[in-house]
Amino acid sequence: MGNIDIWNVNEIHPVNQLWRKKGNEILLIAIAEGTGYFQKTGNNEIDASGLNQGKLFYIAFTLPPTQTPIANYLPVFDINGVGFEFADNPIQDIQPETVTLKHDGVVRVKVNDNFTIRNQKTHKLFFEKVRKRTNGVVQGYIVVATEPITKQDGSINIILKDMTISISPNNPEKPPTKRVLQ
Amino acid sequence: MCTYISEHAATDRGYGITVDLLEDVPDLSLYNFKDKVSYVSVFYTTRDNKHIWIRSVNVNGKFIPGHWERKGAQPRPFNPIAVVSPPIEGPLPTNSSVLSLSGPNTIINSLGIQTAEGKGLWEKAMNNQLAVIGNNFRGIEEIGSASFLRASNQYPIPDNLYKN
Repeated sequence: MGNIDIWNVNEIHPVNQLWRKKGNEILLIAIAEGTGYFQKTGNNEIDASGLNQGKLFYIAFTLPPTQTPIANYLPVFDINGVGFEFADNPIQDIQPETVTLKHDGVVRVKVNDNFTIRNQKTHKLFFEKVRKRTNGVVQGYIVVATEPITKQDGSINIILKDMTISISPNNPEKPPTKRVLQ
Repeated sequence: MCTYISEHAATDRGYGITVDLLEDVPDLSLYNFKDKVSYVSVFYTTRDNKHIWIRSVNVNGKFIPGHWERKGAQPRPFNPIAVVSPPIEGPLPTNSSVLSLSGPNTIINSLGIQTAEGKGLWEKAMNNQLAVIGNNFRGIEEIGSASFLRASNQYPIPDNLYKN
């Protein structure tokens, strides 16, 4: 289990986000608290229940320097979402989409979104904090932004699978034994 | 007095090769500084009558940069040899990356260099959080630092006055 993320406000929070990793899969869970006790605000505090708020999950990735033998290493992720009683009328017209990050005309990160599960619109994707280290390695985050959970006790599960074979996304300096190429 | 000169200038410090001069130097080419000085810092070599400036030296081929030391009971002999430092790295550029959206594609137009803050967040994600950060993460909070507001369960005492 990942560490529970606590917002930096002057109060105790129920859990709003948690995640669990098993093999190449990470389960990201966004939850709204169900008792109603944490739905109060005031004293410079914000509503701690997590209700009506989208949740952001930042998933780290790295890319090797462009001028290296493994520069064509391509991280590939599959992302699907499942909602549980999170909204009265969730959008149901969902299409699969390939979301990419490109540099110098080349796809450097590929995310297959909603390719397996398309019951409800649960999230959207984008990239953020993409930067280059002094050694040329590029680092960044795939951001999964969940839809706001508008019902008490509602939750959204996002299943993220790293489909990049035989290489840790955290260590692109190490050449892969097999590559997933575009 | 010490005159600390540097080859290049950032907003708050010098970098490149540097040398701390404690004497008159009519010709800076002696130290490879002819027409090269970009940043000058001048200061007294004693501080609060407690610390003295020890100028840069080479000891067994190893460069030891100038620094402050507590004043000893016996004054140190004057070191007349100025030593030029190896090049000191300049500050990293802080320009942000520029990304643009084109449908489902995000295009990197330019890449900024990783900041110290970004490095810290990255290491936190990698070392403790399974490579994931939740929203509004601002670092670990000290246990007990949050105020714990509980219901008083007593009609005359509002919850916001109740301390536990």
